[in-house]
Amino acid sequence: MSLVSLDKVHKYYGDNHVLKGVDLKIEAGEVVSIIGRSGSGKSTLLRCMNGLEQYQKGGVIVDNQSVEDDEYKLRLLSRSVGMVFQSFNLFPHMTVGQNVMLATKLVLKKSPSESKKLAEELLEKVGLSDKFSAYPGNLSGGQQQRVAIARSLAMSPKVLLCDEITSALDPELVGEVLKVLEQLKAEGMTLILVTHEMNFARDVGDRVVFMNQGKVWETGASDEIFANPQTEELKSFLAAVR
Amino acid sequence: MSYQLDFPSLVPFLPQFAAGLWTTIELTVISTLGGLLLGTVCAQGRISKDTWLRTICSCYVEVIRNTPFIVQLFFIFFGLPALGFKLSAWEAGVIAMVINLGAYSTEIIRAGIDAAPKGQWEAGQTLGLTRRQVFWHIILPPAYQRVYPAIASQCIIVMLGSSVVSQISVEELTFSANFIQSRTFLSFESYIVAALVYLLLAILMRQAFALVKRCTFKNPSL
Ligand SMILES: Nc1ncnc2c1ncn2[C@@H]1O[C@H](COP(=O)(O)OP(=O)(O)OP(=O)(O)O)[C@@H](O)[C@H]1O
Ligand SMILES: [Mg+2]
Repeated sequence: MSLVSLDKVHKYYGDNHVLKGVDLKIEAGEVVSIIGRSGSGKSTLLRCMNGLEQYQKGGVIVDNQSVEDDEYKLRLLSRSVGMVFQSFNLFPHMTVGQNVMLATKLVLKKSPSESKKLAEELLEKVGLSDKFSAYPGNLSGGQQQRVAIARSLAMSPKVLLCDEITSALDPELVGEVLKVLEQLKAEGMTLILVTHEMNFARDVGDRVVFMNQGKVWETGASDEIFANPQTEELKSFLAAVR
Repeated sequence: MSYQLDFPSLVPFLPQFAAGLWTTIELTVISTLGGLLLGTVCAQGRISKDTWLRTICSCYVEVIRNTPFIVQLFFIFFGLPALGFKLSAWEAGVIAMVINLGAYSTEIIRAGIDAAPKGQWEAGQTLGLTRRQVFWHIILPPAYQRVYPAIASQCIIVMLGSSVVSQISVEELTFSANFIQSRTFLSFESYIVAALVYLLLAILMRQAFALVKRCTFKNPSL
């Protein structure tokens, strides 16, 4: 059974038919990049995988749980699925350490000392052990995004969804965030990334999913897709972003 | 025509002033705490998914914000006993002030909540928190921080508004001034003293709010 499996998913915003029958299977340990033009439904697709958006037809199954519009089920699902956002969404009134520990305390009910130990380990991992007591507002964008990754990892998710997590960063800060993703890949984490970083998608990603007109237009191994795109749409997209 | 101010004659009445001041402080502290708590709970009610709860909370807010405080006070003091609730003047005064601040602070706090980026809710949700946990741990503290100056001003308005409860014979500062001027006929002097004490109280409250702010919100401003 695939870790993530979408079966003919349809999604409408009012009259706007955004996802038009998306089929997609992602195995544990895969690093999948989702690319496509603005408005092609990449974010929507990602958000249907963890219940932030509801879909109207088809089925989404993640870690053997059906993703439905049910608060309780979505809460259970959130232990399997982490998400990192373009705009970081750190909690501004909490220190970095408190950001990372919040869910382990409230949701996993770990003791304060256990939570603290875990938070320190995770911050160490993303290279921010010295920022435990800093506030997000005093960190650079790259540092904030690494905190956000550590915060997601605290729930030990099976898959991490990343929606353009480097798009809000100054170019010189992109590298430090991508390095963390590479490290996660090396540890076997399943990553699903909506990204504009074509180099990263080609060099680090296993597979590329090209979204167009609300469908999975083309998909394949990263090197194949970039070296040898099959459809005209993908060719012109790749030509445009290069 | 000249008027000779005579403050020394008020000196024997200092204990009355002090007692009135103490009652005013009591009313203010209790109604500030109670009113903000009520306002916070109703603000949560106003963004609830439950239509009934939302409607009840907004009716409460609209009724209180669109009627005079003194009418609310009379309603509670004279109206409720008719329905079988026996209340002392002091109790009625506190309840009226709590309900009044509750309504105004609901709107203020809700403005702070509305200003929370959608991503804050989503981040909490994807971490597995319940809606209530997201509200209390993630949304509310920055909301308070955003609207803190408005909350502070509203609490001071409520402190000044406490003078109205002298109308149902709660023996607070204005009541004391009334009493003293009726005994001494030094009305000008009595109300000068009362006004200065209110002014001082308001200044002290601003200082207290600034102190609480410094101790509570340690993060860089939002
Ligand atoms: N909350 C919403 N309400 C209504 N329409 C929406 C909403 N979110 C997205 N849409 C619409 O759905 C379509 C797909 O949007 P989506 O955000 O998934 O695209 P995207 O591929 O992520 O684009 P981008 O690269 O700009 O992020 C767009 O037409 C967008 O206008
Ligand atoms: Mg998007």
